[in-house]
Amino acid sequence: MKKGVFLYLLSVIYMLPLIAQVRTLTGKVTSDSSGTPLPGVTIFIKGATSRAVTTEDGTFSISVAGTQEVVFSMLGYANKQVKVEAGVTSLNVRLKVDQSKLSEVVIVGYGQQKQRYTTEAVSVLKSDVIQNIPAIGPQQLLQGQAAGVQMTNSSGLLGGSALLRIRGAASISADGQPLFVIDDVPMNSGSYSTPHGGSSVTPGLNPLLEINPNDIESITILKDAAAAAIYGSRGSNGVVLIKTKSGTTANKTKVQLDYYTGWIKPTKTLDVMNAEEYRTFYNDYITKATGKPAVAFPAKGFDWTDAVNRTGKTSNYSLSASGGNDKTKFFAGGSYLSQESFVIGNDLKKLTGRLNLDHTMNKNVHFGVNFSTAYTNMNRIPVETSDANNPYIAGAMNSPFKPAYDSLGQYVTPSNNALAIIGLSSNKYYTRRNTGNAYATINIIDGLSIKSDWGIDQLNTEERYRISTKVTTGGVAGRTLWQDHKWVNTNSLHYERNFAQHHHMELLAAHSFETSRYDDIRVGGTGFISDNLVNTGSAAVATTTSATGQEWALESYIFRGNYRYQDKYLAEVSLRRDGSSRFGSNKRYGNFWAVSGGWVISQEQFMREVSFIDYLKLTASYGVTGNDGLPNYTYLGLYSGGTSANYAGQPGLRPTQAPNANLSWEETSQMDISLTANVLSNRVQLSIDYYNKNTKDLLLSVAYPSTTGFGFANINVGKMRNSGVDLQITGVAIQKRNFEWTTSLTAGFLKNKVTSLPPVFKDEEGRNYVAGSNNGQRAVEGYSLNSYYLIRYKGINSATGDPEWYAKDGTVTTAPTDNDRVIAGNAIPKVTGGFNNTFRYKNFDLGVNFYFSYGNKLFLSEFRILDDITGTTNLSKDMLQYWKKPGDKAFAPSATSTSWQSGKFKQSGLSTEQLFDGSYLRLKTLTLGYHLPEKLISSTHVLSSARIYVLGQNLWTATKKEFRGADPEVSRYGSFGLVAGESYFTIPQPKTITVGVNLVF
Amino acid sequence: MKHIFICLLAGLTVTVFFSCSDRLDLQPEQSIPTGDVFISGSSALSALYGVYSRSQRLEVFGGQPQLIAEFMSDNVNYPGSNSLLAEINTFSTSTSNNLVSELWRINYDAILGANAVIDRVPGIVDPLFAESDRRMYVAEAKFMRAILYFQLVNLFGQPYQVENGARQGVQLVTASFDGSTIVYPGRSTVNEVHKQIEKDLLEALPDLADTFTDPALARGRATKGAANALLSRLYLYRGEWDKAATYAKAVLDATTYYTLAPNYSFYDGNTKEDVFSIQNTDSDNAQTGTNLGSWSSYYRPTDAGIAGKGEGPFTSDLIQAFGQEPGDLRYAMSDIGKDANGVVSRFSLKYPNVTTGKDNGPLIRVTEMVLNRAEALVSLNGINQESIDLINNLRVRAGLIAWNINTFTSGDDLITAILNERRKELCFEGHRRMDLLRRGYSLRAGDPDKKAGADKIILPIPQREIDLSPALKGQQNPGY
Repeated sequence: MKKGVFLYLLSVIYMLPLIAQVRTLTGKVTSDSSGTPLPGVTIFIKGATSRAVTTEDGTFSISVAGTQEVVFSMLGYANKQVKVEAGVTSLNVRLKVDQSKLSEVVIVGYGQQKQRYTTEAVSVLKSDVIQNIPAIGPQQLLQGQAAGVQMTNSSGLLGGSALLRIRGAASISADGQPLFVIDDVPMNSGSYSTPHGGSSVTPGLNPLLEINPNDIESITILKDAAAAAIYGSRGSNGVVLIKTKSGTTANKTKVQLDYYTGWIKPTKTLDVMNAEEYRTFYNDYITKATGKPAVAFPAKGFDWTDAVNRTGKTSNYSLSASGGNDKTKFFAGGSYLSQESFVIGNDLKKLTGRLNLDHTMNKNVHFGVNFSTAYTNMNRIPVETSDANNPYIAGAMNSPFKPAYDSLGQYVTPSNNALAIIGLSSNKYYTRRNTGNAYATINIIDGLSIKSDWGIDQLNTEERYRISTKVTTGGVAGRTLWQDHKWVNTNSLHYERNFAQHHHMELLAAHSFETSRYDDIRVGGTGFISDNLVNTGSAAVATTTSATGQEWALESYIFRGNYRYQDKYLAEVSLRRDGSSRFGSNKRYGNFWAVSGGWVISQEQFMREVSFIDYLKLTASYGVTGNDGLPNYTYLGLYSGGTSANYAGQPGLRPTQAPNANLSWEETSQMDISLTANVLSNRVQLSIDYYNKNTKDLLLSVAYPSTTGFGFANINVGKMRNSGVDLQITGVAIQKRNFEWTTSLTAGFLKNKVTSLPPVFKDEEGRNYVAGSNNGQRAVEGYSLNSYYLIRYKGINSATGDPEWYAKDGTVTTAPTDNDRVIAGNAIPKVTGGFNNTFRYKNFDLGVNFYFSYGNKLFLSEFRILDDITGTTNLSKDMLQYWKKPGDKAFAPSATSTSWQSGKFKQSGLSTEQLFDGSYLRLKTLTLGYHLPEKLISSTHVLSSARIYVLGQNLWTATKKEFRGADPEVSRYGSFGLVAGESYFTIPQPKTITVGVNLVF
Repeated sequence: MKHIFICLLAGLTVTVFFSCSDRLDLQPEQSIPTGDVFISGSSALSALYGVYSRSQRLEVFGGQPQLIAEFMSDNVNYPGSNSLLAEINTFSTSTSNNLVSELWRINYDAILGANAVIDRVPGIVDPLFAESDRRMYVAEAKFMRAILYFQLVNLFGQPYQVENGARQGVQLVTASFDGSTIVYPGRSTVNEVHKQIEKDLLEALPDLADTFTDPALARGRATKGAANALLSRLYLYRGEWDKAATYAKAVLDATTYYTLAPNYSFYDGNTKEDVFSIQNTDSDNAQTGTNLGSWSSYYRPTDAGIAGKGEGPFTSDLIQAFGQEPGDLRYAMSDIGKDANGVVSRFSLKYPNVTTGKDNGPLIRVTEMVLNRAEALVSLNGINQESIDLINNLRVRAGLIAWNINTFTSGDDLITAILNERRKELCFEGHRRMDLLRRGYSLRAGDPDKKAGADKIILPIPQREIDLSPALKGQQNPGY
């Protein structure tokens, strides 16, 4: 009894102050950077157990008593502790984005890890750097954001693919693209295009064309073996993991509308002569040099450049809703993008829809689905194939006196008139894609769960072209359908446990089966009575009727183990055994693995003394990954039919491929050492990686003795090395109440060397090489991939007016031969990177992002045409600077140079005359945004946040003074490893200005 | 605990269900794995047609080696438009000449196709596959292998007349390639190659068909007649006159299938004149046609059509040969046009289909058998009535006066005259080079050094092959 009374009294005493002073503290938590309300922020009182969570609009309410320390905590934001004095009942708090990012969870292959404890080299991009940028494919957004990731748009053609190299090129002839994975579904990334829309060497479609960038929550780039080995035979080119947005448990639905519209111009066009310049130049110079008679050109020329270029327009609507409760989370979104290129005839419309659902049935069962569907509709132009058909090329190349319209306004020679071809013919391209996965997770016991994940990626693309009867007699029609349908199933066991206080262990074991089926159906015909008969079925003569198909399958066993001791010592092992239908019967399964270790030095006692270092981690990894990007069935001995095997009207079969049971993946072993540090109260983060990648078994064509019946066979023979340093510094340079400047610098230093090639082709020096392009680009043993093998052009001799070159021995010559070719640099940048800045002043934000590429050479083969006076095309303006008298520092030779004339005017011949330093610095994006004041927002009662902005893309570019091209960002061959940095009238990147609004309801 | 067990079991079941590695054994749909080709009679026949199809190639029996044989001798005046052919024309062929290299490679490509048929067809288990067909397909492949090796040994080896065939011929490969072991044979002697050709033909002879109903197949596939004819040519080239005469007679006696054509309209006609011709159709362009070249593109002038290359005009020597006896109807089968250099020259009309390039390759004609037997009999017996009669058939057909037994005073004179008739009959069909060499004449009238045994009258072994095959080191033809 006595005891009971005592307890009662004690309780009363404890509770008295509460009763006396308890009050409700309410307020709103917003993001310090964007000002948007933050739902899901946990609020707790120090030393007490009571907790609260902010609602969707960021508001909260919690009971407090007296003076208390209130802590606001949310993943991705720095904890904030506020002392609430007695009597305060309202409190608005702004949470800063946790710059350290250490607490952040990063998506890795088949799981996620804390940044703090990961031993994998990854780069992560969050949605904030992705959204609002008028990019058609999200990989464009990687430019300058992730160290060691070289991203070069192949051209300004809408929907075209890009050259994306993660830590250098890991392949010469096999697929050079990284593996793209969206929500655990590896994407189909084949080439679905025909020469009509871009020749086989020109870039195909962007494999990420159909995703809406606004659906993306994060992009993770897996760079080292520790990160990529879990993708086994597909890890060598690096892996890009895309996670799409999910809902929240905040019980409130957030609706977001993003809209922008803008105008598009080319970054720069080629400088070609106008009518007056051409007339004078022709009659003053060309006639003298070539002996052609003078021409009385018409009084007025035609401005082709102007006729094929326009101000393009773009607009994008993106609407999404997200939300949920304890049981179910959802994200639903849709978008419509319309983009019209600055080149006539090229535009793109894209419609996407997405639904992500996640349901928790009970504490042990949890399932969900991510699904997206997309449709694109493009008007394509032939790129870099037929000069007359490509309006952009016609714009630069057509002589100003080539007429476009006759006096009646009709097209002159439509078959050779780009305006007629665009105006009369159609060249459509459609894609339809459904991508998604469904999964279920069951907790078996505490820490152990099983997951089954089923994914699909169904891509249908269609090309439909119709050449007018006015352009080609009888007209031409063609239609091609491609289908690439994939499904993947992964079943995994996941176990995570802390034991004996300091030990943390995580295990993953999985089995995966993935298969895809590719089909194409082609029809084509000629002989049309009328242009109104648009389909091939109306053709009098069928020229193409074909259908082909192929299948691919991959079976994998996956394992990963993580171990952590005292949050200080980290270790990870990953292993993947891949069996692929592409590998020869002797090599059907391959093992890929990685080991990595980390040491969080800052956790050590001796480092606690160093006050300016908040976090310091040293990691090292080594592992083996593969590249399975070989054509299907390459290992089989094959007989083929068709017209090359038939005889006397009878169907035949002939051997077309030598069997190679040893055909396998290309294999890359990579070592990575990385140091990550946070200093100055986490205000500055620094990470530096050194890596060395050795690739062997590169798939190359090797000569066989003819007595085998095969001249060549694909064999795993070549070797290549990439080594480099990735550097990333991020920091908050200025942090004041109303002003903040955050900045980041990324730089990837890369050195590539082809270490072994088969002795099929040898150059004059006896070095093995593999030819890449007609412009002298090749892989040479002992040198960098993408080396240029060219005659060195010296320029115009100012005394004589003769064009001069260097002979192999360095002496000057006026008559070079192919034997004078030397290796004249390569197309691989020594450094690429970005310099990204965000400034915030009150409600204003300003983003300034630069991208740079240094030390690469570009070959601009358009100047072989534009500097060639023997042709009938327009010429570059530089040609006007021709030699007239001794002492002239001229661009073009003297019209009477005999060596030039007898050498068939070779100054435009293949040489370093067309090779340029491709280094550049570009202002990728410049954004000025304004958040409408909160007062105004709250007065609307529907809006919870509103931002308006102006964004400029590619507004400013600095190149070397000698650079004559339209754009230094070219990669005519897309992701093809053997050729990079070449242009043939490549459409430059767009310069875009958009105005937009982000509204949150 | 039971719950866990069920879950694990479910996971395991799912895993096992899909972990079937058979699912990785995917079959191509546009091609057939080698192992699945030789499984039935019909697929075996397709593989055989594949061998014939390969022989349509420009580099095989599509006109190029035949053109080379014509211009290396005195029938064709090569205008020099293709630098790689021009080298051969001037007897200065480089060992790295890519055209020679490709010619070698594609002939072997065809040979290895034949080897696969010979190796694998006997093992096919197919109850519907008639034994006679099975033996016939193998026999046809042997015929093809023989005629392909004969072409190669004639181009790359000295004729039999040099050291009685002891000189180096070509690499003999008679097995198919399995993909794993590459064998590197050295060069066999000319005799060894001839022995193989003879063996293949003799083995094939009993199993070959007499003929086929479809005229394209009757002339385009190997028959008993074709094997007899090729044996006759082999023995003729070796100077085994008796056998040359006998096998020629076997063809000439088979009058149900083969008779001398009454006039010259038989080209590309699949008539009884043809013993074996490579059949080409409009759709074989990729093999022989406008893209690459064809019989017609070489032998028709540039002004005859877009594909006319004008690379095979008459030499003045050939014009002279016809000029000795005016009114030759075979000479009438020519016209005037521009050669590759724009020079107005005389061109043959034997291959007129310059647009499609579909002219058949006339590899063996009855006329040749007439000439073979006539020449062989004179070589055996001197002047004889049968030889005179045989040749008179040709002379009368050509609109020339017939010979009689007194026209010639010696066997040698008659042989010279028969060779002259042979030249005028078979010009532009690829025979002239070997006819000159085997008879000890120089290839070029003005250059006495281009006789059998001289360096560079045969082509070099491609450097590519020497680089790739250790056994070929030091086996290059002398002079290269």
